Amino acid sequence: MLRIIIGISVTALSTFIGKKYTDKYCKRYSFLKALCDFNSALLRDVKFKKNGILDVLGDDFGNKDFDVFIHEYKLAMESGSNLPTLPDYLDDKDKEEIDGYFIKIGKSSSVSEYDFLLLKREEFAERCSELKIESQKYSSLGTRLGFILGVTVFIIII
Amino acid sequence: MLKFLPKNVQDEIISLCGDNLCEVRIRAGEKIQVYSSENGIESVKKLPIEMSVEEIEKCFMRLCNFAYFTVEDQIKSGFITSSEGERVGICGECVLNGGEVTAIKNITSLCVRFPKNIIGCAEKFFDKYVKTSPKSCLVISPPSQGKTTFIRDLGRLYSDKLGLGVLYIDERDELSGGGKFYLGENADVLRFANKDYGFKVGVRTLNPKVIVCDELMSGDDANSVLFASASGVKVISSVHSDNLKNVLKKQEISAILKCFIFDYVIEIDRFNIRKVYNEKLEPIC
Repeated sequence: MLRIIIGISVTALSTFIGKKYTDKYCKRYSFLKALCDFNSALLRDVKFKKNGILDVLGDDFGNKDFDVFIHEYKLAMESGSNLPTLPDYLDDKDKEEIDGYFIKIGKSSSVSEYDFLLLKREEFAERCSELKIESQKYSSLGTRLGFILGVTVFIIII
Repeated sequence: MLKFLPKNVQDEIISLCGDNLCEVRIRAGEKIQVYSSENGIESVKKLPIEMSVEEIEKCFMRLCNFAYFTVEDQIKSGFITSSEGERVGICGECVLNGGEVTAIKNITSLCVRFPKNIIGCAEKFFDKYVKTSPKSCLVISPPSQGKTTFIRDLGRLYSDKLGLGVLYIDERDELSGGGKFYLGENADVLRFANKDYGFKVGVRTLNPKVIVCDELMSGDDANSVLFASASGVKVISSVHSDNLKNVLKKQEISAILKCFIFDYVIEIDRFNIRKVYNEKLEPIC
């Protein structure tokens, strides 16, 4: 009985670790998706109301890490300090891209800004698709591998 | 007030002049100059603070809500109106496109002017000359002598004392002070609309009995006033000059004056009425 309990616990733990290890793929996709939504909101603002970036930064985009980042970005802009740090689960290339994006927005006329944001919409959408496929592939893989490892240990214990 | 400036600069300026503040001049590499007016006496003080081009650029970005595109039309006219209603003149390097200024970059100086709202400053004039029926009025004075404040208050009196619908065409957001000033219970405001749009759309859709607009300058402005007058709408406006004689040298404005559009032409000097002319441009006071 004790072995069964230990076996089940190890399986559960191993599955959890497997899932957590590959969670970063889900988080990356989720963060980029929120960035896509932010870019769309800014596009609408440039085209229609022209309220400015601070206004768009005040919205929520359904991703806690992204919303925290843009809140910190807003504070950094107002105080003139450096850009806040991006989450660790993003890879270096994405971080560079996102940093560059936030440095460039708001610095040009409505026509140039609109063109820039349109270009970014395509780039971000493409990157989002790549991350979605990655997230689907690796997150289920992580869970499965964790489960299989757990079951293997379970069998060995028994 | 002055929220686009760094906190230490804001505090320094406000503690120096408070409500008497008229103008702040910021020039890259030079001490900040603060102009104030107390009991009619103007003075200028220099703060022991200088700002670099980069710091002025940061102030500029705060002024435009960190998005240049929100103020690009204002910038082409050489100024930005802050969220508090302050008018900030901008000086720097003009970017030309087909001979037209489309942007200003490398900003090196800012000139900040503060809208004043003095309720009742037009009351004496209203009680003596307007009384019960609305009149079209043109106010003449050099810059910073109270034209905008006067016409704003006159509009308010037309709204509240005569119960007339008043439309304010607030091209630079100075009349409404960023929406902060009381303009009357029957007032409508078109903020950041040019006079051509304001007059045509306003007369057709908002049914004003009176239109208030600031600073007639061009032939288009004069035509807008003519259009409103021909539609039976009274106009309260202003023009930059030191006296009527010099206004008459401005061809476009002179043309509408000679059409007897304005019932009164008023020369003012720091809210004090210096002279009043009737529609035939004869002095009556």
